[in-house]
Amino acid sequence: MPPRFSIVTPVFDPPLEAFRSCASSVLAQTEHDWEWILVDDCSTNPKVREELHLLAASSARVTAIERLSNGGIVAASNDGIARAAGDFIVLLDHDDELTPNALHENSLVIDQHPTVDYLYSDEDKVNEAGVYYDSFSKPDWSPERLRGQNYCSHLSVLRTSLVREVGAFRPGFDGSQDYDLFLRVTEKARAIAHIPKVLYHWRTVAGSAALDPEAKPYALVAAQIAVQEHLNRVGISGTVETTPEFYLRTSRNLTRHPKVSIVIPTCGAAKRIWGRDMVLVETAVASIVERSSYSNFEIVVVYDTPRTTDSVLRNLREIAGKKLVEVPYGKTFNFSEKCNLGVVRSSGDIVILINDDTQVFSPDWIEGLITFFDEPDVGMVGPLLLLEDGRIQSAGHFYNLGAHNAAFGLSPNERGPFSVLTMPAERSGLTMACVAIPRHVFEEVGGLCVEFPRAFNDVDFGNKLDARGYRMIWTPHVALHHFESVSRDPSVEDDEIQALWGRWGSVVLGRDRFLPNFDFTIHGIDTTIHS
Amino acid sequence: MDASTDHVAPSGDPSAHVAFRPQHVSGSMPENVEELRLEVMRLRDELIGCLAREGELRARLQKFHTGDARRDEAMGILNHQSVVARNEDLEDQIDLILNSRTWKIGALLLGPAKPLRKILRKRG
Repeated sequence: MPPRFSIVTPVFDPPLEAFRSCASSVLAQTEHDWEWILVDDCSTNPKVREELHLLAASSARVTAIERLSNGGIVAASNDGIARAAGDFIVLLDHDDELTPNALHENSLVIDQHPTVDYLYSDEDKVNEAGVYYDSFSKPDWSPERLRGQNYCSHLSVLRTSLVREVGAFRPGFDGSQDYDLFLRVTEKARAIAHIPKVLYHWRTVAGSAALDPEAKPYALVAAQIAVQEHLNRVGISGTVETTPEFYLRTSRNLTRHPKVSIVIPTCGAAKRIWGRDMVLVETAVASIVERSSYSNFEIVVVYDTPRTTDSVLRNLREIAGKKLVEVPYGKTFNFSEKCNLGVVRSSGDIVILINDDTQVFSPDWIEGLITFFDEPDVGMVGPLLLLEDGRIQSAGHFYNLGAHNAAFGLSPNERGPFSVLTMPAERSGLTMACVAIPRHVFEEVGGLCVEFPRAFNDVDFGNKLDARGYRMIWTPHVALHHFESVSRDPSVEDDEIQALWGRWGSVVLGRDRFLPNFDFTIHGIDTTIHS
Repeated sequence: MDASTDHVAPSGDPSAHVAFRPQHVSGSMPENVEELRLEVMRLRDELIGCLAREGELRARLQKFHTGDARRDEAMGILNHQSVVARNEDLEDQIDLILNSRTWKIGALLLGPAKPLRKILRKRG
């Protein structure tokens, strides 16, 4: 009977001590349903082959293949895959280590979810002194983040039949051959699992990519090509560029020009910002009209009556002209209801909800948000929001004993754990101060819940989208100023807390799926999320 | 004469026909449509809220059946009858939600979206 797992390890002149640690970690697996295929790619050190022979002789589960010529990691890995008899390929580098429970944990998930085709787990690094460090708590399946960095990396377990179906590793992608394979496999996988446990120790030695990504510059170029080809395959129009941080940035093309309705609830309040007194909604609307490079939009201002003065309305008409749609609102303040009313009165295919205490400064802010909607499962997109003093107000939401704004109060240059703040990626929720939502999605989930008149309407909305299977994307490539809560009282009502707990208590109190290692004491504290 | 507008025949004429504007179209159409759209959104939200609350209750029940119950038992404070009552109370709450009119109406409203989502996922 074939084994469940085929561990594939290409070998080329590894440090012998490191290789022995690697071998020990395989032999120490608590799960026994495996084979190990070692492919020596013509190591120059004869002791390597001796080690392989000894290993193969010591266990029937170990196979050592000797290549006749050095073909590189792609050729060697493909030789191993060709010999694999197991249902799943387990990729292990010749100097790294598995934790003893690595295969067992994967086996448990496969038993529970028989259709899973790809599994990845958390990892850390091990240095030459044998010290484990730099643990990487990865997000759950996050396709947008995978376009920016190969966050899946180690340990990856792939269904053998699917690996063969997509043609295994491709020549020409050396250094990022695994990244390229993960992209092609995940495009076709029926189910993808993330195991939030460290199951792999990546060894750092001088000159290794684990220690220094600049050690293999060709790998970044290969990654760029791999992601570009991925975009082409899945039908995303865009160009992939490399970043100074050694990651990738996809610049998406605008493939259509839908009408966008920018909905701004306001009470016409004024505030001193940057040493200047300003009527918030006038400044917000002026920044949109004057700076936006996208032209097919209307601005729907939902204003409180009688509080909003005639002079404010006159000024808005002057600033926005025919783009302005005026919607009076005469009831007791309810942010959610005002937004819903604005959306109902609007006519665009895409809605951008934006607070009056915001200011646009990137001309392509609309394009930067709406191009993500070429993917039908993207339900909401939000930008980087900056406080008056330039620090971060929100990089999306994360949950950790409550709902928080990620990176609150940090520098806009902050990269975050494993550079997560430098690239667009999935989030559990987004701040309603500025979000783009396709109209049909907004209506499908019933808009904003009016049970949350002041706070948590965005937390609730994000959870509703998630429950309906939509992804939410936060992007650092669009930034806006958000002078948080200067337009109204930021306090939270008990009713809203109870309503949130009643609907989503276990989600909000649990582990965040996309920023699992975010700690609000380090990565920004803001316990009163509201728009 | 426009039949949809109010008109009254001269008083004293027994054959007079008085046509009143029907109440349900007395308001302007756009407002009615707007109110309906808001109401549909509210119902959808309420349905998703019901589903979420049911999920929360089930999660709490499960937690109760596992960790909490074991801890209570170990502490020697387990009152079997109160546990059963609490359990039944939560089940009743779930039944109430599942049998509510809102749930059923909302399920009808959201129903057509399901196959569409499936198709989109497959194509995606």
